[in-house]
Amino acid sequence: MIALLASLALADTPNGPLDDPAFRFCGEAGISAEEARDFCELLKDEPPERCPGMRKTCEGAPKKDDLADLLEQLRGCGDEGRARDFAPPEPPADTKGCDPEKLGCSGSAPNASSPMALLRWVAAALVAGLVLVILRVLVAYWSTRSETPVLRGAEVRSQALQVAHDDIPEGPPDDLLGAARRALDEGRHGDAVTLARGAALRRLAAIERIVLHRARTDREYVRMVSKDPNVQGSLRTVVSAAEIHRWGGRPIDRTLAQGAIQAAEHLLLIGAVALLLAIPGTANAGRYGPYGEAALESLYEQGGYDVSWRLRGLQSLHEDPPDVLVLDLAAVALEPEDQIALRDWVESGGVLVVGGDASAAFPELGTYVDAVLEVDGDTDTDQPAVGVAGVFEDPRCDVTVACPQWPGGPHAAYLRGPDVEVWVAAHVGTEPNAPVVAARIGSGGVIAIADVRLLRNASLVSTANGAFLLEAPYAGVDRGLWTLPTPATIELATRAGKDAETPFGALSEANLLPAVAQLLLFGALFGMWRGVAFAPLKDPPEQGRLSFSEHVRVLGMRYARLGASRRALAAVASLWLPRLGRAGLVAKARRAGMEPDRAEIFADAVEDAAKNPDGPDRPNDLTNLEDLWKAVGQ
Amino acid sequence: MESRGPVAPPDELEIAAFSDAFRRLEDQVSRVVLGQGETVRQVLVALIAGGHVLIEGPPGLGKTLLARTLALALGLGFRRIQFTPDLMPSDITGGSVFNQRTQEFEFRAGPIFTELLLSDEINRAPAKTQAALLEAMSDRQVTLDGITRPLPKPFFVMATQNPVESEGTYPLPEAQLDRFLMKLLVTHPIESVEVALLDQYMAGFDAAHLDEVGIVAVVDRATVDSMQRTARRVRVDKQIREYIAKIVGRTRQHPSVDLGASPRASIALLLCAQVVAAAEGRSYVVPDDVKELAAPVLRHRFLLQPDAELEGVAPDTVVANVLADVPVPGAEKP
Repeated sequence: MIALLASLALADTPNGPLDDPAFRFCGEAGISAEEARDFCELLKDEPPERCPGMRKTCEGAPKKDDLADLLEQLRGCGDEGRARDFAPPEPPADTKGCDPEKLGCSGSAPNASSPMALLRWVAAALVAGLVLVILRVLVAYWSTRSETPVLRGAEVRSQALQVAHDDIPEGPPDDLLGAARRALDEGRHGDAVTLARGAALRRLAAIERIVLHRARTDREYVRMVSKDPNVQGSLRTVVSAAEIHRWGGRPIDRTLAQGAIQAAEHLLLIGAVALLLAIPGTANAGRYGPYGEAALESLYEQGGYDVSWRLRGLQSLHEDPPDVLVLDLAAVALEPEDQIALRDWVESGGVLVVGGDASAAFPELGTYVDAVLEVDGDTDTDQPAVGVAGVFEDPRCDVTVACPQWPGGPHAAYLRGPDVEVWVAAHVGTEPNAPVVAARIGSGGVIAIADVRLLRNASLVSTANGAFLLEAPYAGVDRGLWTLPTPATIELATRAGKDAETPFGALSEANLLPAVAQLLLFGALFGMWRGVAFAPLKDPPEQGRLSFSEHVRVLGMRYARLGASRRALAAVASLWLPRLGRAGLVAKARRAGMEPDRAEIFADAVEDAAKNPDGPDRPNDLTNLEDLWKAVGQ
Repeated sequence: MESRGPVAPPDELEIAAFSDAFRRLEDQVSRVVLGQGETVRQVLVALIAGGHVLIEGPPGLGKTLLARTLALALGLGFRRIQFTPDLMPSDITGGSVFNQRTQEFEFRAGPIFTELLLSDEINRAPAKTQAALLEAMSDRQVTLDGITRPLPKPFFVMATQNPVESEGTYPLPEAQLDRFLMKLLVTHPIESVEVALLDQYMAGFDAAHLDEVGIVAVVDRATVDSMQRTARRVRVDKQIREYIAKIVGRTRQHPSVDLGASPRASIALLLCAQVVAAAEGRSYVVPDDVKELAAPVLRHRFLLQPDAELEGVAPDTVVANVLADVPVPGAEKP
């Protein structure tokens, strides 16, 4: 088999599929140290020349990310200190050439002469400046705010939102939450709960913690966020309240509605932070990092496959079907339609290598058990209770397929069904737990890898893992389970191949989001300080203002002809009073030739009209309207 | 037929009492029957919903133990019938025997006259014998020699069948299958459960003497009857009823299905959802209750197309497809 031969060749390559210098964690010590250390165990049986950088990281080289790398170059340390060879931390007495007086060396004191220290001072000054700017803006805003007369005629009354109960309310989550609060204030507690539910679900969908679908229940959404008890608790509160209202047919009291809104607020806050910083759930999934999957491409290329990334949805699988599809369910959420399309494709002869829980789409595989979840004591999942740590240690391997390895043993397994082939068993004997199972489905087959870490870049430091991934599709051919051409086309549907869906996502993948967010914040604050407008001004530009003025004049005349003089005066007064204020109006009237007393009476009449547009017409309304036009013309 | 008006849903106290009794029953049975939590729960749901269950699984998985423990925990009478090819209907229902002393025929009740009946390997008996159970299961009565005799209340049948050995078996006809409220699938336990089971035996557990391990009745007949009545009053919104009807209706349109589920399936799903809701301390059904039990309630109620069977399409796959296709009320609009 071509893949088998290639896998044998892999063993002779120093770093295998990680040869590309983009996989820095493999070649340089200290890169992505925290994530790389998760996979250290896999290096034990590998030749010493494989991934020397990661090996040093595992031996205890200090953590070093890109920013630290940059700062290292700016440091005023000695040559040895700038050396790229990262050794394990030395005792404080040995400064390796660093001047202990310089900032940045272990055990040193600050020294303003070093570039690092200067950077810190600049950063500190910036932070202080920012705080001052914020204070100044707040003080300026609150202290100069003047009392503006309330103009009922010009006020846009908010309409009570009609809440439909047969779906999740449409709208941005913040708007929905605002509507929920208004509903609470107005005593519509049921609507408040429904709107809070909508806000919570839509925000969680926006940050991709759940996938909204017409065939999913609220409780399924609650189970989807089971890995984050904080989020799950809040969502459960919202959902429970909504259920009582929607399905219980009982009135909701204010306390319950308030609780639901508070829980929704909590979820929106979490969602806002996640949207801004795009904090990954567990580990950094950078394309070339230890938890990325870019190495799969070079692995399969070296294995003789015709490789491409799958950028289209799974529902188009039938249009240009690959021979083999590698699917990472930790990165790609399967909609029910996707499951059907995927199954159709497999039944028509496709071979699916899937990482994660695929039991929903392929119940034949058996029950998926996540040992980590069980050990954590999370009982609100669909997993059967196993409750024993280390259940999946020491895989026993099939003799014809390379034995994959997971650091610390596989974290998940399938309780396989009776007709499923087991390629890697967790225990000898009749134990049905299997980290990797394979089943023939129709004319094709599924190779399900329960613990998805096998698909990550860092897992390919193990020759056996690379060989397993290459051999597995053809092992089914050898057993007569399915057929595959040689060479086979393979598509990778994983996180690394997935385009960012939003600009924020793209920035996040480039690890630039925090820096960009800070720049934006700083720019916004600076702009506010300097008076740069970020949005249309409150008043339209000159031409628009004149047109609007004409419009109001015509409207006023029409009102006047209809005998609605009060409304005409109120409409014009509503336009000018907020802009001039009472004092400005009096001044304008006096400038138009009105006596001081008369100007005050005139201003009273205009104010009264603005406040009570529905009041009865008065004989001098039209006169006041004319005077008003004259006055504002000054 | 005169239709009764809407019944008031149970109040909080009734629901709390129901939920507490259900939990005690679950705990009591799970003390002995290890690693079968979901099966135990579903059996209890079927019992409270007034149905019967068909359990499919290989021998030696504790089905008899489950039935006996359940009978003890409920304080009910228990009988077991081992179905064999030569089993006659009268071996189940009983029959009239001539009493020479009184010179009269007198009725001698068969094992079916019990409250909890375990019909072991039901598919080993011929159709005629299986049919003897039909009237009993649906009407809870037995008619012999023109005399109708009611069965005790509650009357609950737990039937088992072995999925592996098909030689010398008589597959249950559709009419018979439809009378089971649920079909449950039991698989071998995982290793940790098996170890716990061995530990239990090492500690002196003897399945023949359940009373020695402290299995006692935690509810009585009156409580079971009260639970059944409470569950029937659990509120089911009109949209949930429509949701149930759509699910069952969609099984009739599925391309892999030859004959879809009957309206009896809709009723079964409704009853089960009510029990699940009450067991969770709610006086109303939510869509999740329906989805939770859709597979056990529906998987035996439709006939697959021959080509789908040949392709290995499992009934559970059909149910999963149907659930993924039918919009949940109150969820995202299509």
